[in-house]
Amino acid sequence: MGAYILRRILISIPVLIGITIIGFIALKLTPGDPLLTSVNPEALANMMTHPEVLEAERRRLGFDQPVFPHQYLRWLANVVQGDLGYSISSHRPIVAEIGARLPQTLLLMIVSLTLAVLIGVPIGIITAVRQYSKLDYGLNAAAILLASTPVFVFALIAIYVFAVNLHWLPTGQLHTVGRNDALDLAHHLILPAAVLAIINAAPLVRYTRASMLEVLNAEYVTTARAKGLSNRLVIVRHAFRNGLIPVITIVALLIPEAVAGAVITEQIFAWNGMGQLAVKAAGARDPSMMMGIILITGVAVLTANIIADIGYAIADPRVAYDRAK
Amino acid sequence: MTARNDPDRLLTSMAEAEMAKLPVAPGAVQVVGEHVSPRRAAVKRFLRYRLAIVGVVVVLAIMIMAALAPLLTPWPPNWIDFQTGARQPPSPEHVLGTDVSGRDVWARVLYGARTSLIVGFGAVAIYLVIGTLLGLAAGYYGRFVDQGLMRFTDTIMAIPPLLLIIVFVAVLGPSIISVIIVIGLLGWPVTARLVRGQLLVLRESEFITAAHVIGVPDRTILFRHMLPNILGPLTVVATFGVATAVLLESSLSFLGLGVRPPEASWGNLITEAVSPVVLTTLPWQWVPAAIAITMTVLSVNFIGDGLRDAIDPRITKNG
Repeated sequence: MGAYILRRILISIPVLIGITIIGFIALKLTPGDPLLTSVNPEALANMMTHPEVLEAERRRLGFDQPVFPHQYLRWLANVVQGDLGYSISSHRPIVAEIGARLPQTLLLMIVSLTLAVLIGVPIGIITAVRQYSKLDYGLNAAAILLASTPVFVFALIAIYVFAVNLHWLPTGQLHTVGRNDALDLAHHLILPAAVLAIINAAPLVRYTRASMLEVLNAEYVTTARAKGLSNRLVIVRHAFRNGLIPVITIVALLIPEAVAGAVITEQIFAWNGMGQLAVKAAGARDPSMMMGIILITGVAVLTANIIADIGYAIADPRVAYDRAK
Repeated sequence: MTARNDPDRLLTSMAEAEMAKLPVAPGAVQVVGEHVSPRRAAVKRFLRYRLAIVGVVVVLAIMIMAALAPLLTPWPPNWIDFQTGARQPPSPEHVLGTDVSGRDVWARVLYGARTSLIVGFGAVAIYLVIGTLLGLAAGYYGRFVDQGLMRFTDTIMAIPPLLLIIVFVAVLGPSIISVIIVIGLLGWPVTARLVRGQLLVLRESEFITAAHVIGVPDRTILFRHMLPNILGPLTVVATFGVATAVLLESSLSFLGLGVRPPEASWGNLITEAVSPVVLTTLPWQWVPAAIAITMTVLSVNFIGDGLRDAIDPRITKNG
């Protein structure tokens, strides 16, 4: 198991380096003076009046050297130390900008993914157990329809029904003006989290169903039935545990899609998170901000995948043995 | 599940988990004694899948409507009709009403179909070529070529696709061409992985060994003997890819980061509905485009499902 975990982590090192290179490419390809994204705006404002000081600063930061590998390595050293540069639109450090938005996005993602699992997995099990029933066809059709509906259309319909017509929930924002308590936040969280949860539950239903069907057709399940166990016991005691292991992987695979969904959902619900920041950064062509967002999400997805792989190996030790040989 | 059986992969995607169900080298799994050619058997299975037929009909209809757009509406898509005015409900003149700036909604939906289809097919065509070539290289040469290429695909897949595409479209400057190029250049990992996986199995088959033995050159083996055997699965990936690309384009345009107004796109028709006033009082502004996207993507997905079942004879037993 230890060797397996080590191997997983070693394999992800080149990927991690790859992510930083992609972030660096995004930074370098965006037109604009690199000084603006790497020097404290206040200090830069003072330098503006002295062209020779600006030139010296450029040389000091190595902008006269080759982009690769010199500038890349210098930039990487800064990133590792937590310096992602400055935003050209807000003139604040990227780390501060992202730090201010990260909690809201994490809240939205964790709540919606948890809900997605709570909705998607049971429905997946039911459709597998009742394969080819009307219920199975109906729920499957709903899942395919949902998978084909753009997130923003689904979100707009939800706003139309629950916020504008029924007035049950607010149309967006984190808080009502003048309120700042957790209850108010929860009230604003319901609609965006539910939209994201339902959208993400759709693929979960399909994969849970497929995985359960595989198990339900396995020989040990037939054996369990043959020795006279009730249907319920066969499913609860024998099929569940093995059928649900692959769901760990599927949840991890869902994360990149969930991030994409979150970008759109945050935008529609004016949810003050990283997704909204990404759209703003792209709209303003803010190089270091786009780079920062690529880095953070890339590293987060990579970490989630490693955790899922380890979790999978713990739940199903055969995986670690298979790969050790 | 099946997505997990390759010891050298770290990250996979939902799309790939979907593809994992595809059979390797469909020609090889034919039932003995069946006197139908594999291709005809596949066509027969596809036709049995009724939803896929519906999908083909709908997609063809949308393609024809997009191609004949100028004949189906008297209004140019960017023409502002000051006489009728903005925000007018459907009327005989403007069958779907006018939008917030006084343009004909039906015309914009028709021309938006052009945008969606051009992006969908254009982007997928680009990444199919890239993905197939990289996949062939990785699967055929193996070793460090394979390792290097697979770590490269892992990297692209680690970053959520929408984010990556948003950023690089912004870098190039939003336009229909940038959207096609960026999706085309970043969308290939799933194809590459699929081609590689199929090739790893194919490489061990007897007819390839035979070809090696009689001295057929590498290039001929790759393109004459191996590629035709993976065309089936590639078609399925391409079909689902078109659905994804249409969704991506509409999402980008919806966010104002894809096809720029005044150019019509289904996504940017819906952008206006973010305002609750438009959402509730001007349904004709956004509902037609919303239906158009969902219908197109759903139809393409049905076709993909049908194709997948058609090239895999093992599935047909169940329905």
